[in-house]
Amino acid sequence: MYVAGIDIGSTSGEALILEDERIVGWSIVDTGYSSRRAAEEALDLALSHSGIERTQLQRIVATGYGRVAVDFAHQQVTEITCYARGAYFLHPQVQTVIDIGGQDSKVVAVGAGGRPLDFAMNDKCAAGTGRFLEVIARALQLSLPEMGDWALRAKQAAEISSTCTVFAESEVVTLVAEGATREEIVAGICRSIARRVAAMAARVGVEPPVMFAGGVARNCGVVRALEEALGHPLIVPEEPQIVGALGAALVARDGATT
Amino acid sequence: MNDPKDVRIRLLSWLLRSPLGLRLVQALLAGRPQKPHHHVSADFFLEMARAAYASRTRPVVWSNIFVPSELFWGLGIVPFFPETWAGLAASMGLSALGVSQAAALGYPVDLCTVHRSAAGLRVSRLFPRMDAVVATSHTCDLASQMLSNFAHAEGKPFFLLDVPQRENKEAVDYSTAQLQRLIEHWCETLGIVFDLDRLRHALHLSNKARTLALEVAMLREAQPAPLRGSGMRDQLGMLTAMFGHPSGIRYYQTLRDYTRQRITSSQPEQTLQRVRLYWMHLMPYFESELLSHLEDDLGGVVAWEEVSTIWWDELDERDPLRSLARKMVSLFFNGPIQRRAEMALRLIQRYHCQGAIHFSHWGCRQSAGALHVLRARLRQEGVPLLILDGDCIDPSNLQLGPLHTRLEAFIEMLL
Repeated sequence: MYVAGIDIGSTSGEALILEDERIVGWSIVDTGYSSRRAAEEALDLALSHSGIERTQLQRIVATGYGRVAVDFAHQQVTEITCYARGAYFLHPQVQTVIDIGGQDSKVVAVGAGGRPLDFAMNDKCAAGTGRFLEVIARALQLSLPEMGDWALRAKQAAEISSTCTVFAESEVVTLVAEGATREEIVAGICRSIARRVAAMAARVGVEPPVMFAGGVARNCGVVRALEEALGHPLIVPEEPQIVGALGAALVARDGATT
Repeated sequence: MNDPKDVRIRLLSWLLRSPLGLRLVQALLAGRPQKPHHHVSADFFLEMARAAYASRTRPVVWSNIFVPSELFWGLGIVPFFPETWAGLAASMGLSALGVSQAAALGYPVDLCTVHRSAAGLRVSRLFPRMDAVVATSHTCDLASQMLSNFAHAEGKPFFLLDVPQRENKEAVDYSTAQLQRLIEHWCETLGIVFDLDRLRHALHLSNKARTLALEVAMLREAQPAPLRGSGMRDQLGMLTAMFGHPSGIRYYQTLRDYTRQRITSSQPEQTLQRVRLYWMHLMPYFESELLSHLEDDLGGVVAWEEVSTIWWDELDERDPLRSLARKMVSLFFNGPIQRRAEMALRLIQRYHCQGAIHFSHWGCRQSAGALHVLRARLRQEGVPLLILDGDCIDPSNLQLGPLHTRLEAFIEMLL
């Protein structure tokens, strides 16, 4: 039995095909201007990677902020539920999952069977999200993938006092003018994100093991800063961006079998 | 001014100030299909409006919502609650004008929009005359400051009822003395004649309404829940204005009969009921998809709202001022957050709620300031709490997308 999960975020869309307990294919595409188009594209790509036809799918579940636009899905489920399910599937001991996506971040307390017990979200402010990193990368003329390594090379982190992405960008310009190195600034930015997310996580209560998912989990600078801020090591899945789509596929599997 | 809302304000202002206009509004409201108790509350507010705007026979005192209403009705005073009227204006789509006027007056945007909107609407001349102003110090300190500002701007006397945070004999003695001084102050400044029997009668009416309200509370324990939470968003207005007035009895009698009829006919207002919830603090006063999404799409039923709670004991008609002092001091919003948390737990159990939702209204520090304590206490008893940051006055400050996601996730979590 094949099922699919589709996670449409603000920046990227992911689709994942599950055959019973086995991931048979997945994809990541840019969301662009249309959530529905991104969902179609991601699903087609994941199907082609899996070598199966769409007609073979018994059930499709959509999640993410663009889930409502995925009108061909059988069900829409929030990313809170899907991240908890996906994280539990990958690592059944996980108690907390942190996701930092393109334009939001969330923390979910995970209970037995991957059930969400509590959650906190930040989707009002770009600070503490991937968007924050993008803006600063542009200001520092760095690419996103290289930012993490730059942060790890820093001997000390610059102090970023602003809590707003727009003003932080101005602050970075000032720091550059004052002679701070790019390594120090990037490390400071990673620490700024980590502090914000750790404060949000404290509202839910951080219980280890903690999984770090979402696109920003690819940034080793943020991973280290978040580990320091939380005081716990983080489990980063091999493909941190597909945890939500995996959770959606698991929900689809439940629906298909019941 | 070119703002079309301004035309609406002018029209509304004329309707409220003209006996003919009020009759027109009454006829329009009577013809509207609404629940029987809402007809009673509409009539009550129109009667208040008539006394405050059109008539000149009784003094009009502006007040915050925590001064016991029995005091006004028992002294022959017409109360005017700017907070309640800010809510009414929001329900008519007029909050944007109030908020923008307040910004022009220099009120900072991080202040509560209820008070900002009231401040803006006051200068828009939507509100009635003012003969004096009173406010309590407890629960919401912004209310007393704003009302003090209003009194100062109009050159009218202002009285602050200082209500202690602890509930004990000294606090009640102190508050009783405050009420005594307030009455003396009004006798002096407004020329009213204190009539103890009239005040006792107001307490008598209040007690009768209270008994009926308690019956409603008991009926609402029923499963499925007979009423829809969004239909109860006027409760705070009722609870803070109607007690001591004959309309309070009519309102709760009508609501009781309506609730009973819903139960006996097995016709709850909300058909899809998957999760029972306890709603804390306010709800948007304007029409919004927030509640309809929760109720109609997700099947979350608000079995009880915090602001519908009758928190005070029966009033002692033989000792009216002490009774009213006790009513003020014992308010669950007053004093340490533990009082509110313990009441929440009792009500969550009583109404068989699986979770609680706290609507954190923009700028309301008194309600949101100690949420972490509330959340921890509820969690200790295994009750999940969802905190929704929003605005019950200004629709532009209510981001529905993120709020819907939180509601959906919460319901998924509880199922």
